[in-house]
Formats: sequence, C-alpha cells, structure tokens
Amino acid sequence: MEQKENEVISAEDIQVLDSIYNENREYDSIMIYLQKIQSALGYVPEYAIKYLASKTKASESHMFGVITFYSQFSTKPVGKNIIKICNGTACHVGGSKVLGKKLKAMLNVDDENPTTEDRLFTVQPVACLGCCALAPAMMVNDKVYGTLTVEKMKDIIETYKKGSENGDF
Amino acid sequence: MNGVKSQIIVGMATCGRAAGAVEVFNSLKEEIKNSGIDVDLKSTGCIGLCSQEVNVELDMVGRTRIIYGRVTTETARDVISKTVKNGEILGENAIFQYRPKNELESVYDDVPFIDEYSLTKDQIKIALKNCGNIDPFSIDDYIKTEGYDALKKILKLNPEEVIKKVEKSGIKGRGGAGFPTAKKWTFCRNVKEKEKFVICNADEGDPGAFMDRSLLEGDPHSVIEGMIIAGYAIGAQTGYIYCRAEYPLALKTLDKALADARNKNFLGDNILKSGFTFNISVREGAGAFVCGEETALIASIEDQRGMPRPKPPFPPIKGLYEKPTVVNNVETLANLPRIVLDSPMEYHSIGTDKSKGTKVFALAGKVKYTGLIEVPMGMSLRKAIFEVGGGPLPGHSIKAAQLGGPSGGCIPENMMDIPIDYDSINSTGAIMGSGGMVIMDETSCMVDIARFFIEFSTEESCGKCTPCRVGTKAMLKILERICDGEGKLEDLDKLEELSHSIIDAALCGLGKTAPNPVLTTLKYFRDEYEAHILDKKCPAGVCKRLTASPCQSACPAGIDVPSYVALIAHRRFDEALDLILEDNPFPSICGRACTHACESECKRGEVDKPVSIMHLKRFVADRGIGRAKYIKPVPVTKEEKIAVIGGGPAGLTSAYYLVQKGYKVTVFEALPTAGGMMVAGIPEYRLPRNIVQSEIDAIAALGVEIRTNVRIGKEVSIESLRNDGYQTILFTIGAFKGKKLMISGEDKFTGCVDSIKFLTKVNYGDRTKPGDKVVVIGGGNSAIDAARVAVRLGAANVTIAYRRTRKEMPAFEEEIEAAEEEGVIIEYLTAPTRLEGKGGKLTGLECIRNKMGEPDSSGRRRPVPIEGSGFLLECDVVIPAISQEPDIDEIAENNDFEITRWNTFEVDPDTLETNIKGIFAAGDAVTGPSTIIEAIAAGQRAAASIDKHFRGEKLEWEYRSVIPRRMVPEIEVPDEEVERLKRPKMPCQKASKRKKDFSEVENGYSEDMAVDDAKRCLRCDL
Repeated sequence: MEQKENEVISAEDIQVLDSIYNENREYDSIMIYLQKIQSALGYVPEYAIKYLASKTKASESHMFGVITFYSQFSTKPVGKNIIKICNGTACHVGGSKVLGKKLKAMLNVDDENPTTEDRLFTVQPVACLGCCALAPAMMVNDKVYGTLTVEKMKDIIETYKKGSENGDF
Repeated sequence: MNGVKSQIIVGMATCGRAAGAVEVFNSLKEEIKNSGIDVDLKSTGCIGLCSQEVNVELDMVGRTRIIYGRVTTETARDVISKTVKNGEILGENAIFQYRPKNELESVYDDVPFIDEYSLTKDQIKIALKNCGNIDPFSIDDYIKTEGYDALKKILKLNPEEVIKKVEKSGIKGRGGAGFPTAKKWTFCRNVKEKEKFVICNADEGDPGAFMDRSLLEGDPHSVIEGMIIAGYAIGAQTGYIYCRAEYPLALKTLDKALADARNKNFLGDNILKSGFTFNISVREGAGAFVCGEETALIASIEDQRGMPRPKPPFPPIKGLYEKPTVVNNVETLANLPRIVLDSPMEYHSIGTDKSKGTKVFALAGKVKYTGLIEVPMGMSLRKAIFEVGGGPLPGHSIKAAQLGGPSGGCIPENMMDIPIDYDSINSTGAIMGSGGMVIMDETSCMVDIARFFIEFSTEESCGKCTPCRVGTKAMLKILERICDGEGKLEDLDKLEELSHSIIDAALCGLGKTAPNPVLTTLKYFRDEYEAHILDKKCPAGVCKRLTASPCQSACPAGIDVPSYVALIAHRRFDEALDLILEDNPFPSICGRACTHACESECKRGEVDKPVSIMHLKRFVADRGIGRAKYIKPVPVTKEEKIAVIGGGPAGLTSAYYLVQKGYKVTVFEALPTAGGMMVAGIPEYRLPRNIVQSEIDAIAALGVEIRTNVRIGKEVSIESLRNDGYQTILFTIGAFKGKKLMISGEDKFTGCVDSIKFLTKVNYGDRTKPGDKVVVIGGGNSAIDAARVAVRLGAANVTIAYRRTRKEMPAFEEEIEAAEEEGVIIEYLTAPTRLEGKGGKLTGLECIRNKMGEPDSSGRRRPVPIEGSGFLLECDVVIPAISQEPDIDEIAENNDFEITRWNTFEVDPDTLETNIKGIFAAGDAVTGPSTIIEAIAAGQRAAASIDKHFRGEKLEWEYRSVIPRRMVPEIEVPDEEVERLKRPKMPCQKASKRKKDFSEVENGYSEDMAVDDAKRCLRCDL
C-alpha cells in the first residue's frame, strides 16, 4: 500500500472516519464502511483500515482481502474526476478500444499510472455501464455520456477542466 | 390524459441523460416559462427507444399522447411554440401516438399509432408496463396505475395460495438460467426456519445488458412490490437489493422509492395492519462480475470476498447467513404484481408451451433501433431483430446476435428463425441469459468477440477454482495468438478441448459457461478463425495485427489505402500514385468504376460520411494519364513465353506483373480493343474510353504485346499457341454471355436483347436508337447502365422493372439517383412473366406485382408474387440485365477442362491452376460476373502462380498480413478546421445536358477538395 511509514493522521481525517462510522453503524457492514470511505476520500488509505479494525470485529487482513477483490476499491489516491470508459460488448463492437487509447493519450496517462499529474482525472476501465444502446459510452463521476466520438470526448474533458461540469447526474 | 392539465414528460433514465435529457429538460422549462403557458413538466424512465433519445412525451388536453424523439435543446423551442401552443406536429421528431382514450381526444395526422409503429406494434409490455409511463420518483404515480394493489390482494391470501398463483403463470427466472420461480419459492417455504431472506439480484454485470437498470430507474416500485410478495410467499422478514455501483441513478431512484414505500407502510412493521413485517435495504455491488452468481452475491452481502461456493446446498435451503434465501432477478420480480393482479392464466397464455410470458431484451450493437424491448416468448429471433429492432444499419448486413453475455453465445443470421424460448436458444449453444442482445454485422470479427469475452472471463474469474482461473487464461493466450495472425489450425482443437474441460470441472455457473462464446463462434464462424490462421486476414478488418486499417483489408487487392490517402493529405500526389500502381495497374479506372468496399468499412463513416476513397484515387490517378510515353519496356530476361487469353482487368493485371518479372507476355483479345468488360460493359459517360486506353497503353509500354480481334477457337487454339512456343496459358475470358429470363416469348420476338450484348454494341460505336419504349429487367449496376444508355440513344420511355424494393436494390445509390434524374422510371416489386408480340415484333411485357415476404438467408426479404396483380408494360425493347456467365461452350468442347455447373472454369482456389497442368484461369471466367477490383486481385494471384510454376516452386499462395507499406506521418488538423471538413460532393454535369450524349458525367475533385477530404481520414493505420 502506498503509504509513508510515519504518516501523521490529522484530526480532520479522524473526524471524517468517525462520521462515516457513526452514520452507517445500523448496517454493521464492512463493505458499506469501505464503500463510504472510498467515495469520500477517493481511495481507502491504510489508516482507515486500521481505524475500522479498531472499531469493528473485522481484521485488517480480512479487509485487505475484500479491498483487493473488488475493483471498486483503490488503495492509491485517485483524481478529482473518475472517468470510466466502458468496455462492454456493444461499446467494444462500437470501437471503444480506440476511444480508450485516444483518451489516455489525451490525458497523458496509462494503465500503470491512471491519474493525471494535476490529479484532475483518473481513467478506469469498467466492464459495462449498461448504456449499450448509446454505445460507445463513458461515465465521468456519476454522469454517463453516450454515442462518443473522439471530438465529443475532447469537448467533455474540456468542460471538466474548466470546472463548468462536475459529473452529477 | 391524466387529470385536466397538459403535461410534457421527458425520458430521463441513464440513456436519455447520456443523450442530453437534462439539458433538454432545462430548455423546455425555460421555454415554458417564457411562453407563459400552463403545462406541467415531468420526468419519466426509459421508454425503450434509446436510439432515438432524447424522448419527450406530449400529453395535451384534448389530444392523444404523442412521443417525440431526437429532441435537442435547439428543437425544444419548436416543441413548445409549435406543437404545444398550436398543435402543429414536428414531422422530424414524431415517433408514434397512443390511441385516443375517448372521443374528446383528437389524433395527430400522419403519425402512426403505437399498435401500427414497427418498433412497438409487436411488443407486449408486462415487466415494462410503467417504464416510460410514470414518474419513477413518485409513489403516487405508481399507485395510480394499480400500484401496490397486488400487495393488498395477496395479504388476504395465505402464502401457499400466492405460490400457487405464480406457479400457474408458468414464469421462470429471468436472470438467465430459467428455473421456475414458484419451485424455488416452494423449496424455501418448506424449510422450517424462522429467519429467511429475499434477495433481488440487480448486479447486472453482463456486458451488453441494461434491462435491470432500466427497470430500476423507470419503475422501482414494481420491483419492490414483487419483493414484498416474494417475502410474504416464503415467509421472509428481510430483503436485500444488491445493485451495481455503476448504476448511480438506479440507486438514487431505489432509495427514494424505498423511503416512500416505508412512509405509506407498504414496507416495514405490520404492513397495512396485516401482521406481516418486511424490510428492504440496498447493498451496492463493488464491481465484481462474479457477484451476479447467487452464492458469490451472498458472500458479498456477508462482507466476504465474492467467491461462489459449491452447490448443493442451494440458497433456498441454506443461503445468506446459512438461512433459507430466495435470490430473484429484477425482471422476475417486476413481473409479479401483474401476475398476481390479473388472472395468472393471462400471463400463461402468452408465449410457448414451455416458456411463458414475455422477455425483456436490451438490444444493442449494429442494429438500427437499439433500445429496450419486451417481446412475447416464441417470437422468432429474426422478427425481434429485423422488425422490432429495424434490421441492420443502412448499407450493412447482420451476421450474428450475441445472447447471454460472457455465458452465452453467438447465433448466426441463418439460424434466426428459431423462436425465442429457453430450449430453442439453448439448442444453438447460446443461452437466453438475462436479456443482453448485441447484434453484430460484417464489421464485427467473431474471433475478436470470442477473445473479448474470454478476456472478460479471465479478468472477472474470482480465482477460487483452477479450471476457470487457469483454463480461461490458456484459452485467451490461444485466441490472442490467432488474432495476431500467429495461430495454427491445431489451436482450434485445443480451444475445443480446453472448453470442454472447463465446462466439466469449473465450480460455478460462470466458469461452466465461460467457454460458450468460443464454442459457438467456432461452430458457426469457423471460416473466420481459418481466415485468421491460414490467410492471415481478418475479414471484418478488426484485428489490429492483421489489418492496420479496415479500408485496406476490405480491398480485395489489398491496396494501401491509408498510406495513399495520407500522402494526398500531405499533397505528395506523385508518391501516392506510385504507391497505388504497386498493387493496381488501373487507378484511373478504379477511381471511377470501383465498387469501393473500402468506403463501406471506413471508420469515418461512423462519424459522418466515409472518406471518398474512390474519388481521391481518381484525383491522383488522373495526374498520370498519358504516362505511357515515359515508360520504358522491361528487358526480357526469361525464356518462357506466356499467352493470356482475354484482355480484361484480370488478364492485363497478370501481364503487368509477369512482364515486370522479365517474361515475354502476349495478350489475345477477341474484341477490337483490349479492356474487356471495362470497355464493353461500362458506358462511356461513366468511364471514358481515353482513360481506359491510357492505362492499357501504360501496360503495353512495359513490353506486353496485345493482339486484338483474335478469338480462341477460331484464329488460335491451345495447340497452336503451344506450337508457337507459349508454355503457359492463362484464361481470363470474362463472363460475356447474358442469362435468359426463362419466360415465354423470349426467343419468339425481335426486340429482346440482353444487357451485355446491348452495351457491347453501343460501347463499340453503334449509336442507333434501340426503340421507343424500353424496359430493362434487373436491379444491379448493369441494369442502370443499360437504362441510362437507352436514354442517351433517344428512347422516349425507359423503365426498369425490379422485383424487390429500392432498399434491396444492389446498384449504387448515386447511380440510381442519376438514372432517375435522367428520366428513367423504376417499377419496384415487379417481376416479368411473359413477352407479348405481334408479327414477330415485341409489343409488351406482362408483369406481376410482388410483395415482400420474410427475409431469406442473405437477410434480404424474399419477393412473393401477389396473385391476380398481373399488368402489361407496353414496350418494343426488353433488356434483361439479370446476370451473365462465361461464353465457355466452345473451349469446353475442344479441351478437357473441368467446368462448374455455373459454366465457369474449375480451378484450385489458392493457385488458380485448372485441371490441366500449366494452364490457369482467373477473373469472371472463374467466379462468374464480379468486379474490376476482384479481377485485379485474381490477376495478381495468377501472376504469382505462373511465376512459381516456371521456377519449379510449389504452387501455393503466400498469404501476408495486409499492412501499410509506408509510414506517412499524421497531419495536424486544427480544431476549427475539423468543423469545416465535410465529404465534398462530386461535381457533375447537369442531367438535362448529359442525357443527350456520352460525355463523362462526373467532373472529378479539385486539388483542394481532394486534400480536404484526405484530411478527414482517421488514420486507423497508426
């Protein structure tokens, strides 16, 4: 896990974790805690796992097992905007491979380093967004874009760079 | 009309939003505010017409409900100012209207009703009854459509009676496997445990499926109501909805719906004072496909890694937290309220013997109308795809349908007459699956599809059992090898062997079905695998290592399209021409009269229009007109002499390559000039004689001797040629004999002459008017040519009779349009039955009208004659243009050639050698009437074989990957220019002028037009 040995955890960090823990106690589910942490912080840091281990019955190793199994979780910090480029069948048939390549080239990222230097974007693959009728598709945060072309993709990225779009649906 | 107020309803499910529904909604809001009209603006879920998003329903007081499609922020203003205010219909946007509910509602003119519109008329909506009709965020909307009435009804019954009802309906689980729902419930009901669970499986992970998403986004309450019914039936107190995190809108909709249902006490403690308590909570999936498998899904809710466990025990006996658990799919649950409310026999009456009710499909891929459809079980797959889905995209043909995602398989087009039911679909090797149906056409590579799914399975394999974890990886390696052109034939057996091992030994349903995509494609599309392995060719032009660009791989002669187009963009015209000449001695001819398969595959065509590759070729090639005078003969360095019989494109291409290798080549041509069909068959206004002659001169200048007016059999024979020292003979005699109509009167009257005889006569200078009233029979380019020539010769009335509709007509669209501009009348759905005459002269053609029947194996609808529809076309000339064959009788009589039943030469398809050693045949003489570019490709191949024959090498065609020869850098096109660049329209002579003579119709591109168009190339080769 990408984490410095003696990372100082701020009081603020603890506060975030406390509120997630308290708001979701009724479910008593590790998955739900982890999902809330992932969506609040953009990743699951090691200190969060330690925190949960101290609060619940789950062990650190169990949680690490869960995190590495599901593709939703990331142990590395991600960018402000998550771009999921759909790899579903209809998108594949519609040429999503080329689009994915162009997008990564456009943002200067690759599979090893999917996050842009300015931390504005992270590009992730996704098995299928279920927007097959408008393939090829991609999702930025919660917003889905269909019938993509390279030009359209460029324009969409611009709106996020300018901050005129935030990806709520 | 609900209530008394007009309303506008925007489809705002994910598909709609992806197409801009939010923006349209806001524009409508603005327009309503500005115009001051009193109308409610609402949102709804998916209406199913995804390809025509953004969909807007207008429900105006006093009018029928009408659905608009393709509404944009720009058209929003017209929707309000024209339709809403003035009742004026927007023809471009109107899709269909509902039937009027009472006599007060007036209908819109010229808009089909829902039961007339091709996409909707054959659908039966049960699961999707509310989708696109109600506001999914409003529980009141749901209640108005009998929502939660089913719940009220079952609370008065005992659980066994509820199960009985469901059993009577015959519904099977819609998640894919098709297990009878009532049976599953009974197992669970019978276990004596206090705590039981219902889980709604909304982890729709199959790529290519979106039924569950649409249902949850469009009608969450029917799923919730279905779950409560299931809970009551089995005696559960708790339900979970396990929904993918990739569906944020569905999750949001569910949250709201659950809260509303709790508020109204449809959920929670002591539901509607019945004493029954049931709670539902939502669990988000975390992006693991395997969690669609029920035991893995259960593990995931238990906070474990989502790995399946062996069954039995099955979840209804031991499931979540070891307690009895029913896992039902979203669609199954959504069906339940209707089944309970209506008599279950009503549901039972829909469908087939063993498969009851309806099935929802997510139609996607290469089909005209993608979207969400619900069809009765038993409908043929063909009807669902070709009628409800609208058939192939224009200019394409459907090849296969992929059903069931990674667990399913591909059903080929010729098997699509099977009914949609569990057994029939299983018999093909595919599965019904949850409802993903992805359509593939000729641009989809079936090997790549198999590789795609296996790659998916390797990535999503949970890793618990070895057959799935290691086996799918091994399969992937083989498939990647084949896609890269490095496969061997043995690999196909290995793939089958591995598949069966995985099916036998994998732990869960996912592993057991993972090889299905490979097995079905191997079964139905083995030729594509073989093309990758043996020919090093990807027929669809998808596999990157085998096809740098789809255009180049689509070209039968493998011409390096991407490089020469790029050279044109760089204004390096001479290099472009030299490059084309490496593979094609007839660039100016192909620049005018090629069938340009390259353009139908061009990826730019998916954005706007394909790059005009043919026109670009003409532009650079015409710079080389008259090049013969700069060409020096190639010195003869070899002893062998070759005779080529027939100076058409195949023969001349062979000569072109052989002479460059140092052979002495003589071409014998029966007609007064060489050129074959390029001169005899194609009229001058499409292909001027000087252009053809210039290219033939360039070949002759290399040292090829061309002797005209020499007919084989008359002036020369195989024997005499051998005596003259020609060791090898290549037959490229073309297909010059017109086929007969086989109707009565054909040989009785003068005035019936086949198109090729007619065109040859005219093309060699006879310009007499054929008659006054001319009927041409056929729908190909040759029919159009004959008709346009007849117009030019002064015929007053020229009619083409074609047996199908314009949509099926094989002639080029531009040619059909040009003929119509010149006054040619086309009678569609017309078939000739008899010729009539008087005194030995033709006076008329009796015809019958056809109607279009079911599509045949070519995907085209079969014409069926309508009884009693006979009519007479008055005419003095009839020109059948139906097909041709080689004029081979004389040659066959005097020699021992093997001849096919199509009267063509029987040859080894790889080497083009006939059964007589050292004698070859190529072009139309082998294939029957084909294209210039096919003939060029055959000429290349014949030349290679003849060269090997002389060098004593083994005759075999060396396949090579079609890849660009040059590395031409990409050209930077500034953004503002991208907007400007459109495919230029070919400048043409006016119809009024051109119909009077034979001068060329198309003027050719200017330099700037050519460069602009070349810049539109997307450079797939890079």
